[in-house]
Amino acid sequence: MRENAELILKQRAHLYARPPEEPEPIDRGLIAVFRIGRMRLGFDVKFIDGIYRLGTITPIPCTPPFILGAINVNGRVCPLIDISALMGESAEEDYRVVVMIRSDGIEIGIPAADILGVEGAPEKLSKPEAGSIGSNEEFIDGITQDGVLILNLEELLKGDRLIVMEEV
Amino acid sequence: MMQQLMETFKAEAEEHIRRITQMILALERGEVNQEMLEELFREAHSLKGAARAVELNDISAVAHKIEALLSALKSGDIPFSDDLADLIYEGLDGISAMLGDEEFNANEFAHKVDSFLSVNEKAKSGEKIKPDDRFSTELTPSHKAGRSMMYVDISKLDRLMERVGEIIAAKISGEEYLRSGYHILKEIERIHRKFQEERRDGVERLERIIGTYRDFLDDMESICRNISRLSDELNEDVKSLRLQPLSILFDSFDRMVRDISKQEGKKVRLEKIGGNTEIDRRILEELREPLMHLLRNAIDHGIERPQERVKAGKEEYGTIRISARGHGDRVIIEVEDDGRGIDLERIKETALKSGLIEETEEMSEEEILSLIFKQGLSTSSEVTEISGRGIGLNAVWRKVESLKGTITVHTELGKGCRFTLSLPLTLMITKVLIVEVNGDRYAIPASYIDRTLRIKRSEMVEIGDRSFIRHNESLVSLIPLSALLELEEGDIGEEIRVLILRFGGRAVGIMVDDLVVEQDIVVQGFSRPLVRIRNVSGAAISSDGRVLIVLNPMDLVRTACKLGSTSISPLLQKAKPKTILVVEDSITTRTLERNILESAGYNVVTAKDGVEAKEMLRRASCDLVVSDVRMPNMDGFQLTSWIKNHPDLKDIPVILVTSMESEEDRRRGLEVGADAYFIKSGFNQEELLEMIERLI
Repeated sequence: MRENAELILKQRAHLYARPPEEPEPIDRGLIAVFRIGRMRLGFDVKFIDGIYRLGTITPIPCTPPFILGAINVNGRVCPLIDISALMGESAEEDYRVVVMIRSDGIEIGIPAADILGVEGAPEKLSKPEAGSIGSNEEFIDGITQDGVLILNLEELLKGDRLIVMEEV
Repeated sequence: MMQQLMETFKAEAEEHIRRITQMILALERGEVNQEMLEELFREAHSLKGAARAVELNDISAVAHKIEALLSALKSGDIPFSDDLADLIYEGLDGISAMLGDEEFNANEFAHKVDSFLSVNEKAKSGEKIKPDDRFSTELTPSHKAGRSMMYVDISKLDRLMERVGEIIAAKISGEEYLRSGYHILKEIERIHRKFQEERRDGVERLERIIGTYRDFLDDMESICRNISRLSDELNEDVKSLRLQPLSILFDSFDRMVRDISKQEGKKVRLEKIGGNTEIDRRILEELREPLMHLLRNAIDHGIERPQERVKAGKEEYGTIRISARGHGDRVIIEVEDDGRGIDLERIKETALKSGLIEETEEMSEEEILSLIFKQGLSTSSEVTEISGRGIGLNAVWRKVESLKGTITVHTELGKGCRFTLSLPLTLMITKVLIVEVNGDRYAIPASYIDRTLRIKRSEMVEIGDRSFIRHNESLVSLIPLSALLELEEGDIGEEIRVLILRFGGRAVGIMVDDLVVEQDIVVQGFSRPLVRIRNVSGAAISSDGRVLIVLNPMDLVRTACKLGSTSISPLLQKAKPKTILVVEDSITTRTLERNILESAGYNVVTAKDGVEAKEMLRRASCDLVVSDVRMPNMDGFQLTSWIKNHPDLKDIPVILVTSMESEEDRRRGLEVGADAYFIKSGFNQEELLEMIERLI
């Protein structure tokens, strides 16, 4: 009887003694974090074409407030999108750099106050609290544990949020 | 006439100079043949004769001396030498200078030539050049076989382009009208249906009219389509007139390459390929400097000294190849040399030193190479006279980008270097007027501007809270550009600057702070997410690198009509513009009246006679009626009477306008209750608008 028990126990031990599973290598992208107004926003690096000093901005009349204006990027006229204004905050005065974003032929510039750093893409993303900034925006994927709002740039560029299409 | 003769001579002289230069260069390369020597002489001879014909005696004298040199060369009296070439170039440069109204000491030159000839002819026993007919230099022909060519004043071409731009604007306007025409047809068909239901009189007549009208619209549509096709084709044709072959640039580089290589003590051969590739004249002109810089660079930094080259196992003569080819709607230009190539390590070092980059680990070769186009980088240890002068690679890059082109570079250390430029075939160039409002500048396409005016405050006509000015015997409403663009309104001074914009039969006076300048610019349209912006059609990069917003004149006129004009008092946002019913059987008069009223900011509906007018009044709420008297079916008196007796409509003011002048009619008008009576011949818009203003 005892032999049996030992055998059974050994078998069970065998069964349960498996090498730990290799954690799946997470293909982590890189997120660049910027300060825009009082928010910290993360952009996926693969959409960033370049970061330039923000020079003279030419305002574009008859556009919504989140269109800050246009700038000259290598001889091309590029629109500037004020993310602060887009999310209902006031347009910021302390922008120093512009982040050039490009996806599928669409190009925009997003002004920012500070470049905070680059980090690996977050493992866990939660939805922003209802009523807080970014809680009901399609182009916000979520908020990290540190409070960085992750922007879905593809949605921003290809979705309808930014579209200006008005006749007289 | 003299002016034109001068222009023609200049062009001809330049052509002679170009051909002589090319042939001398060929001689310097060692390619000699007797025919070319004869040709050289002939060119100088023709140049001399032409200059004499227009009485430019100094130029003629210099040409005469050059002819003497070439004659001696041709007959073998003097040998060909570097000094001879230099002397001839000096003469040619002198003629060019004189053509450009610069000074040149023709006498000194003459003396030089004389002493040269006497010195060299004495050494007749020396080597004579032996013409070798195996060499036949291909010169870029100035006459293409079988085609006759013509010199055209460039400004005429530019004006032609402007006209074409205006035609296209008119075409678009026509298409708009056609669309409104179809809308009107729909309205009429609706009325027709109603008449049918109500079994009214005149249904058949209405049907016939609808049929006629529809045929008319269909005819108009095919005419419009034809015009559209023709104007598009015209546009393409005129654009192609502006295309010129790149050989114009390439040939001018020969001399430069020769002179610089001599200066640098290097031996350089310039190959030119694809000079017959054509590109827009404007782009061509803009490319001159960048290409010249690339060539200078190649000679200065690229090609090594002859001894170095031989040591490296290369030919003594370095080769620079400049080539052009078309590729779809772009032109590819390459400047390639077989010199020492670009040292990537030195670039990295210099970039680090200048603080352009922080770390260089992760940079690919391409990325490092592209650094040479960045500002603030220079890899030569001394700034040589040549590359220190003029513009740097960064400026080349910026110029190419401003032409909507790209520039890239490939290199192999020790083997050489190749710069590749990709440029669009043509640029869409628009003539604009740049205006200033509230300290900001805006561009307005010139083809929509009737004229610009400067008026005094006292010249403005104010009717109610709207302002007008007199222009071409009519009143044009005035509105500040700041109001149209929804900007803050500034103060209006004593002197007011006005642009009269015209579109679709309507004219509007736009007030601005300042009229800055008229300019040709390349307009870039906006793209997603800015699909269509009110009042804005695009943007351009101005000469100071800033973005310049280009406004949409059609939108501006429409917006102006919507807002109504404004007087000096702040713009009152009208809750709803007043609607006026215009009743008039003549299309012309009806349209005229409609335009006047719409420009003044009123909403206008129209009717062709009293019967229609009744229908309109039943359906739409009108604030005032302006009606003709003599009309079919129901005249103005009957209409007025009907209105004034209608319980819902009796308060609507009615103004009768007629061409009949008789006491009888006027009395009748008053009897039926008209609020005002105007006679067409005496009527002026101001009074009409004033009256309307008073009544509603």
